[in-house]
Amino acid sequence: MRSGLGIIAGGVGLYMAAMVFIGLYVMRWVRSSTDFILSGRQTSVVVAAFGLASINIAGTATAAVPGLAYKSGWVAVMFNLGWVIAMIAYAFIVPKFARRTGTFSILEWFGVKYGPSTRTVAAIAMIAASIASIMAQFVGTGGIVSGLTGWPQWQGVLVVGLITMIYVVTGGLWATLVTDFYQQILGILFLYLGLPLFLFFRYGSYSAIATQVPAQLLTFPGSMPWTGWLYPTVLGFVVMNAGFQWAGQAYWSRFTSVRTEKGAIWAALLAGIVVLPFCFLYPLAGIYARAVNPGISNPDAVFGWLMSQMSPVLAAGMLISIFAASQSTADAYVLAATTVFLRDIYQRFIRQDATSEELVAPSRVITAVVGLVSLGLALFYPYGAVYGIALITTFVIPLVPILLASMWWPGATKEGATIAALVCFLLGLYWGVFTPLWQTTAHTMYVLLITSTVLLVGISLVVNHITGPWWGTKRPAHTKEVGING
Amino acid sequence: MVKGESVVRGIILECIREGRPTLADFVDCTGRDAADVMAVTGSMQEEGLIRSLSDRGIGSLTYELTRKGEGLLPPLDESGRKLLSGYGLGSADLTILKTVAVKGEMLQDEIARQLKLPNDETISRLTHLVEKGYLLDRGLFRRILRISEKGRKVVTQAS
Repeated sequence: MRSGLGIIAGGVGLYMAAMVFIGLYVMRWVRSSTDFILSGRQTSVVVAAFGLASINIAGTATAAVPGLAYKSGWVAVMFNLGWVIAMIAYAFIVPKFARRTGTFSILEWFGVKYGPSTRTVAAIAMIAASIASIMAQFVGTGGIVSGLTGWPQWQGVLVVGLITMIYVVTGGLWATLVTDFYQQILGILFLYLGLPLFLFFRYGSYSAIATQVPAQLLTFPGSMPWTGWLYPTVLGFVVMNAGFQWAGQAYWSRFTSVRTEKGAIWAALLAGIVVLPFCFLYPLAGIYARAVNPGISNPDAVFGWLMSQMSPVLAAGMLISIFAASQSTADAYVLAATTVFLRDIYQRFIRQDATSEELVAPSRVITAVVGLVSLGLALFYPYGAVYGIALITTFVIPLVPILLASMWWPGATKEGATIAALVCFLLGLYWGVFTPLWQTTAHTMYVLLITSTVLLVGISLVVNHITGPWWGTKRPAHTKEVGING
Repeated sequence: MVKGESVVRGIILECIREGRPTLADFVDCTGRDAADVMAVTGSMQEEGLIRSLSDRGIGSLTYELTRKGEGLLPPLDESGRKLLSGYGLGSADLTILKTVAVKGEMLQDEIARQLKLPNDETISRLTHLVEKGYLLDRGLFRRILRISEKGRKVVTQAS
């Protein structure tokens, strides 16, 4: 047992050292803020696809999906299949457009379309959402390290947070993409190949174990409704993932960093293909666990129990893959928050005339500050991590209608966008964080999508046809209010 | 270096003439925030110098020159005219092609450094050359460029 733990701890230590090495190695590739934030727009299709996939394949799924499959059966595939469906639809709507805008952040695009008011409101929200997500990943991954080493949880959080920060501060998106790539390779090796082989050789074929679980678990969607106002439903998984992806800064920057517009589309499609097998693996593990050990009282512990049945080498590989999955999600959000800070706050209000080369040092400082704030919250307020998803829902999902209108509806106004965003942020906090309405009446994502759309369209129609602009001028992006030092 | 509106306008007109007519090209070539660039394209549209291909969707981020806008551009010499009308390229593009042809393969950063081009402008030019088939790119992480047969013909004929 001790030697098994030694192999696992050694593997994790080696992995962490490799991540730091990559960060230091790619530091030499960073000469401008475009290099730091967008990897010099040199990202290849494969690397971008792996980077996108890594945002989805998070460590949180390790506890949630096998547990859901253990309780509810194959419908658990929707946890990640919803992401794949949303990503394939997204591939034909946003990536090419995002690449053509030339922007660093989705909020910079809002600045183009709606002007500074919408950009500022959305920037504050996006930073809050990113920090909530980083914090959740640090706490989750720190918990894995703590469980492995026996250290107190805060020590695990500290180690994970510092290592993530080191490679993101040194290499920016370059480090994130290169580490994500190798993290995905580990995932493919151990999760995609190791897990099904372990299940097959240890417990027998699927048809053999299928006779030992309740028949309803093997049907789709089992006891879960297809649609409904509450969560989860089959459709709800797709809508939730679409909400996070479509207006998510971590996704936007992946597309604007790809070499060509066609490459951006292919990256999204390939990411869907990369994640597809993953959708079925964790549910398969949950169903096997149900067949072999139907007495597990805490479904979140299902995957942990399976790992305890593996050889130390396979368990080490599996753990590193899970660890990598969490870290790759955290690094994406560290960089997302940095981009927003740099481009939408620092460069707008503090150093408007700085060149791309002059912004490298501030980029690193901002990354360090974002990382330290998130780490501090994860250390001193770890229970806040449970609000991660609620805060992302609140601050990102209302931006989806605002983004789609910015692309296709010339009549969308800054008044509609700014007020819709502000009202939805407050409503989301009330509905999804401070009251249980999201569990009893309707899920926050539906409430926010509808509210955002109605306010955006309604206010824009009033501004365009009745009142005229409520502040500033009618077309902020096409006037001099943005300010050009001519 | 701070670029004023007149400089930004000149760069935008030049970009469109050389077949790099998107907002992304303008942002890369001017080094400015997209909102600033869009403010300039807005006023240029109002003055009738350029027009966007559509008022929505991807066409709204793509521009073309009007006659009035073309008139503001400095005239090209004979070889510049030939290069532009024959291949849709500018003289800096030809320099890139020649450099890559001599070296065989080059990293994106190397091209910027060797030709002393701004990093972000190089990105725009290389993307254009790859999309038009004059350069081929590969490389899992960093972008490695080499000249295509089509690009080699341009170098031979334009020289």
